[in-house]
Amino acid sequence: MVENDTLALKTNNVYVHYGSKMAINNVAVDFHKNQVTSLIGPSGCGKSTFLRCLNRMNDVIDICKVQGEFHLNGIDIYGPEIQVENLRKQVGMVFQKPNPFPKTIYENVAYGPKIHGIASTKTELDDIVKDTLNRAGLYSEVKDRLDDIATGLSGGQQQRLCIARAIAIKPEIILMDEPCSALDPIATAVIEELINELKENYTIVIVTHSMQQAARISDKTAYFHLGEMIEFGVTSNIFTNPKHEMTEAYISGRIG
Amino acid sequence: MTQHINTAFDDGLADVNKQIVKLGALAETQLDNSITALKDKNIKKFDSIIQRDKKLDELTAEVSSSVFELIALWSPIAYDLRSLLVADRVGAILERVGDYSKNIARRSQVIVTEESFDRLPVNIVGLGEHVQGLLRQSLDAYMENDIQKAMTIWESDIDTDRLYLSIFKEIVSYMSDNPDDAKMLTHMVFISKNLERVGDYTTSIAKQTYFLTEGEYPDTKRPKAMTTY
Amino acid sequence: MTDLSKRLAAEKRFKYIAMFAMCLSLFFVVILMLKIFTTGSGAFIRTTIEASVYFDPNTIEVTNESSIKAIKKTSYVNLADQIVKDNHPNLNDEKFILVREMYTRKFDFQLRDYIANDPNIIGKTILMDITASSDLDQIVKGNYPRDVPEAQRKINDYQLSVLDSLDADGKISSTFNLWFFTNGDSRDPETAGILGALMGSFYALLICFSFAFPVGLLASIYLEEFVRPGKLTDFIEVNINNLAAVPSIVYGLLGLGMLIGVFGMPYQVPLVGGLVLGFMTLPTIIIASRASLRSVPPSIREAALAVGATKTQTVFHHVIPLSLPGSLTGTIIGMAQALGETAPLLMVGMVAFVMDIPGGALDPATGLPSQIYLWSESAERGFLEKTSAGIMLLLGFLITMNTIAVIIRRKLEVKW
Repeated sequence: MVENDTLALKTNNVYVHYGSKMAINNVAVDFHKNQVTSLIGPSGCGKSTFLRCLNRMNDVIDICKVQGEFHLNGIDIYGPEIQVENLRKQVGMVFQKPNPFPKTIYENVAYGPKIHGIASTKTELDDIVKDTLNRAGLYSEVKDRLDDIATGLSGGQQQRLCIARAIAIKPEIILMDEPCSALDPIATAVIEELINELKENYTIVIVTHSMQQAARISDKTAYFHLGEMIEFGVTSNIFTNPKHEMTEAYISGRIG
Repeated sequence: MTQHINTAFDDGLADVNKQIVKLGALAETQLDNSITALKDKNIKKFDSIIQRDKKLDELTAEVSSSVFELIALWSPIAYDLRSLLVADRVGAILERVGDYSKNIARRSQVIVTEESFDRLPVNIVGLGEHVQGLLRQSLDAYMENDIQKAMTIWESDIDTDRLYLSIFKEIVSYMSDNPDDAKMLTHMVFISKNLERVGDYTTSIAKQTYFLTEGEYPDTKRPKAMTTY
Repeated sequence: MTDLSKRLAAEKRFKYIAMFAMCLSLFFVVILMLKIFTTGSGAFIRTTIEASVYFDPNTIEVTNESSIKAIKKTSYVNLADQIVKDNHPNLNDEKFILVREMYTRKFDFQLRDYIANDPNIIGKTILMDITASSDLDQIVKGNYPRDVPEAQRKINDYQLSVLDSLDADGKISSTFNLWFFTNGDSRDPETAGILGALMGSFYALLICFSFAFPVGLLASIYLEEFVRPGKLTDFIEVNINNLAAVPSIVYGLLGLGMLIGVFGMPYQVPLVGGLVLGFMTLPTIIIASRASLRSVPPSIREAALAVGATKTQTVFHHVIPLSLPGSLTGTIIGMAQALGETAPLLMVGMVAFVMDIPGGALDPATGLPSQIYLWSESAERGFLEKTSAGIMLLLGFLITMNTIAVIIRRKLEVKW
C-alpha cells in the first residue's frame, strides 16, 4: 500500500509557543509524497497549530514562536532567505469554514495564478481556471456561471471552490484544516472522494475531528495529545491495533 | 481498559459478555453431562442432554445478534472491534461443542445397552475428562484475557491428539477380534472423535483469546501429534 | 398579579412610553418642517408685472451687430426708465419715482440679459413680465398687511392704487422664481439667489472630499493593517476620537491661524474653507473607515495570504474593496455634517456679502449655512422667506446625502 515512501516534508524537534504557553512539544512527523496524512486528536491538542506551521500561517500571530526543522524538499522553510509568498505557492491551504473571496467564481480561481504571474495571456488563464475546476470536480456544475458571485454557491461547492483556488497555483502540498466540519454528510463524501483523486498529484495533510474520516481517507495517521505526538503510523494499523494506550483510548472513545 | 465516555456502549458490551458466560456454562454442563451419563449409563440423562441443545442454539443466536447490532450502531475499532468479533466466533464454537455433546449423548444411548459395553477397557471417559478440563481452562483464559493460559492450551492439544490416537488404535485392534461388536465400536470411534474435535475447538478459543489481546494470531504452528493414522 | 402578568404589564408600559417619545419627536419635527415650508415656499414664487417693452434703438447704445461683450457692458438704466414711462404715461417726477420703485431695481439687468440673448430684438416691441420689487412682492403674497396706516407700510397708498389697477388689468402674475437658483446674493430680496452660496459650498465640499477622503482612507488603512497594535496606536486612536468631538469653531481658528496666517492662503475662498472642513471631517472618516476595515472577517485575509498574496496585496485586493461601502458611508455622513457647519466658514471669512458666483475654489465665496445666516440678519421682510427657502434647500441636501449613504451601504453590503 505504501511502498513508494518518498519524503515530501520532514519535520523534526518542533516546538511552538504562544507567549509563555507551550502549544507544541517536540513533534517530529514525516509527510510522504502523494499520500494523505491525517492529524487527529482532541480539541486543543495542537494539531491545527502544527498544520499552520507548515505554510507559516502562524507568522501573522505575533506572540507565536515556532522553532524546529521543517524541510520541504530538503530546504528549511523557516530559513531567512525564504519568501513566505513563494512557500505558500508550494504549500496551499483549505480552511474549516469555506471562505471564497466575495468575487466571481472565475476570479476566485484566477487570483492565485494572476498574482504569481503564472499565466501570461487571458486564454492561458481561462485554461488554468477550467482545468483547475475540473480537477476539483466543480467544472460541470459551474461552467455556465463562472461570472456568478462565489458566495452564491452551496457550502459543499464553496469548499470545492476553495480547494480549486488552492490547487490553481499547482502546489506540491495541500493542507486542509477540518475541511468538512461545516458540511453535511453528502458534501463531505464528495470532498473525501475528491481527496482520493487529488492524492495522485498532490501530498495532502488533513486535520480532522472525525476518526472515521481519518480512517476512510488517510494513508498515515498521527495522533496528537496536549501538544505532543503520541503515535504515528499506517492508518489501518492505528485503527485495528494501535500501539499506545492513549491512542486506543482516544479512538475508541474511552476516558483517559 | 477504561470505560467508554459514552457508557451505553459499555452496557452493550457487558450484555454480550453475560450472554457468552451463560453460553459457556451451558456448553460445559452439556459436555460434563454427556461424559458422566456415559460413565454412569444414565439413560434419562441422555434425553435431557439432547433436549437442552436447543437452548444452546438460542443463546448462540442471541450472542450473534447482539454483536451484529453493536457493530452496526457503534462502528467499533481496535480492541472493541476485536472483542466483538471474537465473542461472535467463540459463540459459534460453543454451539459446535454443544452439538458434539448432543451427538455423544445420542450415540451413548445406543451403545450402553449393549452387553459387551462394560467389557471394553477403552478409556473414552478419560479422554472426555481431559477435554472437559481443556474447555474449562480455555473459557477461563478467554474470560480473563489470560494469554499465558491460552498459550498453554494451544500447546497441549498434542496431548489430546495422543489420547485419541491410542483409543483409536485400541478400538481398531479390538474390532478385528470382536467383529460382532462392530456397531458399538464404530459408535465409540465417533464418540472419541467428537471429543477430539472438542479439544480442537478449545485451541480455537485459545487462538481467539490471543488475537483479542495481541491483535494478531500466534506465530507458532500448533504442535500436532499426527495428521492422520 | 402573577409574575408573568407583571412582566407583560411592564412591557406594555415600556412600549407605550417609547411610542409616546417617538410621536413627540415626530411632532416637533413636523412643526419645524411646516413652519419652514410655509415660510420658505414663498421664495419660489415671484410677482411680475406685465409691461410692453419697446427696445428703442435710440436709447440703446448698441446695435444688433455689436459683440456680446459690448452688449453686456452697456448700461440700460435709461431704457428701463423709458419703458416704465411708456407703460405709465403722464406721471410727474415724484409719482414716476414711486412707480419705478414698484419694479425691481435690477430691471435694467433683465433687459441686458434679454438683448444679449437675442440682439435682433432691438427695435422690436414685446410683452414682458418684469419682476416686481420685493415690497410689492410681499404685499401681493399677503405678507405685508394692507389695512394698516400708510406710515406703517412700505407701499404707500398711491402705489397701492397703481397695483390694484394693474391687477384689474390682469397684468400682475406670479411665476416660478428660477432666479432663486440662478442668481447670486443681492441687496434686493427679489433678485437674491442661492447659487453663489451653493457653488461656494460645492467647491468647499469638493476640496473637503478631495483632501479628507484619500488622507483619511490611507491613514485608516495604515493604522489598521500595517501598524503593530501597541501604546502608539492606542495613543493615536484616543486622539482621533477626541478630535472628532472638537467643536467646529476650533477648526475654523486652525484655518485662520495656520492656513491663512502661516501659509498665507487667501481669505474668504472655498479652498481654505474646504480644507478646514476637511480637517474637521478627517477624524470621522478615519473612525468610520477603521470600523469598516475591522469588519472584514479575518477569514478573507487568511484566504488571500494562504494563496501567496503579500500583506499589501491582501489589503488592497480584498480588504479595501470590501470595506469601501462602510468608508464611503462614513465619508458621506461626515460631509453632510460639514455641509451644515457655519462656524469654521465664519472664521475663514466665507460669510461676507458676495454677489458674484464663484467660478472656482479660489474665488471669494460664501457657503450655504453662512448665506442663510446673512439673510436671517437682514432687516428686509423679503429675505425672511429666502432664509427659510435656504434652510429647505440645505435640509434637502442633507437628507439626500444621507439617503445616498444608506443606499450605497445597502447596495454594496456583502454577505459573508
